[in-house]
Amino acid sequence: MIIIRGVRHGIIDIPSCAIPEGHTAVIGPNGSGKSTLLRIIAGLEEPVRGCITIGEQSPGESAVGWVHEVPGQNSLFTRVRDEITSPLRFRHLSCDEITSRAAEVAAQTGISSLMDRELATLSGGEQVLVALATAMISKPDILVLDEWDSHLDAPSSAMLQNQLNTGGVRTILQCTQNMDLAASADTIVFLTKGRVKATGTPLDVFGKCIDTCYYPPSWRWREWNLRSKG
Amino acid sequence: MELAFEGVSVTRGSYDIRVSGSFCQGINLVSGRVGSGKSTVAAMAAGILSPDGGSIHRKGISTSMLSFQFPESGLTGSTVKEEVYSYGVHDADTLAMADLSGRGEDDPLSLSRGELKKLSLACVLSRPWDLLVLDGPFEALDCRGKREVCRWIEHRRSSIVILCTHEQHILPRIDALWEFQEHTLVFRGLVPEALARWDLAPTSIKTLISRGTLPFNVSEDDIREAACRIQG
Amino acid sequence: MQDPRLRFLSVVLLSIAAFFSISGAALALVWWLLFSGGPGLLKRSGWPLIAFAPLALVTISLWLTGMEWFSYFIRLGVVLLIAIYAYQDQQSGDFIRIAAWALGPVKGFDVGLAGELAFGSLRFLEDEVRRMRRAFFLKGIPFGIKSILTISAGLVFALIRRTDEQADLLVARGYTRGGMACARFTSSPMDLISSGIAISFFILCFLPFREFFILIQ
Repeated sequence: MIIIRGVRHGIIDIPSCAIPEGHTAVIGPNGSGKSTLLRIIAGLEEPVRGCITIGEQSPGESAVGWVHEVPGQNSLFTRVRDEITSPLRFRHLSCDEITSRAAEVAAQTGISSLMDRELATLSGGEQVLVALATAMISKPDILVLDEWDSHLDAPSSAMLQNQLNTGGVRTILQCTQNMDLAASADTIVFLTKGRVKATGTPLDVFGKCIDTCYYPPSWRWREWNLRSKG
Repeated sequence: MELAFEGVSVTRGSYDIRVSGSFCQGINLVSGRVGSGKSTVAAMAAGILSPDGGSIHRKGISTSMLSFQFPESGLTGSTVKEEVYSYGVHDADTLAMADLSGRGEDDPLSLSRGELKKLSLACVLSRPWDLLVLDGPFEALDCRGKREVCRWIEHRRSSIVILCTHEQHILPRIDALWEFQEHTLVFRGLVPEALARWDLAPTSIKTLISRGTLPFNVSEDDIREAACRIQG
Repeated sequence: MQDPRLRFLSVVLLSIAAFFSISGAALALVWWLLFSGGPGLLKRSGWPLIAFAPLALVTISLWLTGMEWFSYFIRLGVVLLIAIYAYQDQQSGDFIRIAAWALGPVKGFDVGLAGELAFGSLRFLEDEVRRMRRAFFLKGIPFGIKSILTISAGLVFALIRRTDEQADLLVARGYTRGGMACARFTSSPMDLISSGIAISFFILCFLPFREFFILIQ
């Protein structure tokens, strides 16, 4: 469970909020503070006021996998293989373990053929896949994904979302503008102007915005299908 | 006006991206999977990437502009205002378009990703161009922003607009449809007939077609109208 | 060269030889022409040639003040050519592999990582200049002397931001100290020949040949 208490930082102003384990989608308009909130939870920024606890730990103490919204800024190394294996190499794992885990995660994310390519020669979407593989390779407690799906096509993001949900990570926190993807989460946090407008299950949160463009298109389509057949 | 690709190819690692055909006036949607070659076509169309083989001919095109997939790629100004000026457009109007009035002195990189994307699109779409290439214009935008950008794009129908995107739900009305098959760009035809041949069509369009109704176009209104036709 | 250790050794020895004397510079230039790909290497990317600008400035000031400029220009020019070869032929991870092989998985890995990040920054600057050039071209802004100030300021800020982002990444990926390099090296026969010649050139350059012939006479 992630507990947010009296956090103020930049545009973010959240008196209290509890995010349960599982898959949480953070949604909201552009500039509402989604990325800032994720950075604080990932331990990359210290809030000016208030505190966040992840279980019993502070954000900096937890094992976090982080995917930045701009893939070019997700890299330390120029070659895909070096980039993906870096979290395991920093943790001094054995070379055999590093090799087998890299092959596993590359197959999972569909980038096995890209391992010896230079990152700069990859497309935007492929760079996101590399960033995702890098974040997942160390099997973190929490995976924080800052709008990773915006550069992916629908089949790729659906396939990867499926991989993420079955990948054994206890807590996945992601912000997205894809409401269909958000609808598949266990919990939704809806931010506007740095404040939590609504939080709860997708049914609770999206139920309050049926007349807005935030309502998941697939839900609208499913309802239309039922109406037209029935 | 016409932008013609004649046997164009670009080598990317172990495969080649191949493009042949002419982009004409109107909105040309280029659809394709991740890494299929959409950004490569966009860069070649805008003249910032030379093909390894074949040739590109620009007929009657004197001005062109590219909106990058990653808005950071097009930055040259150190403030939002400087960035707006660099496109040769009026700052107040463009800032209002991008919902950034009063933030002219901010560092463009202090904006959120979506705000920066909208700023760069507002700058690009504030001026008329003979050829306008939009690479992933809806990425990082919220649904309201996407709808607004659709309206801006629809006003540019008198130019050649090449719209490379994998957006599924919020799209402008388009004129022609192109699609990557593996790494080869294929012309699917003019809309609406081309929609039946669109492999990567959004689920809504595929469902409508499977139920015997071809939408007139790909915009939200067109999909809604086609759905109403089925319901009677 | 496939083996980064032999490349590193050759580059260090030839640079010392070239800096030491004109004859050393001539030998290093011969090696550069024979084994580095020579002018073809410069065609791959002309960007590193910018390093000749400060050398030209210093040479001109030496010439204006009546000091020995010719030897300086030739020796430093060859050192730069060798450095450009080292930069162009460098592969991602080479620094870490060599340093960890030489100094171990903690100190060596850290030294290698620092080198790797510095090398990445050079590549980043190269990409940034290319990116800005493209953006200027698209917007119809001339990319010349007038824009140097804007571009330089942009590069400095971009580099500061990148450093910040890389620090975030190191934290997020659990870096504390050292790491596994998993270094494997393969040397081709050509690697052995070219590095062997570099070593002989280095020795030749420091052998007191003149004194040897005087003694024989």
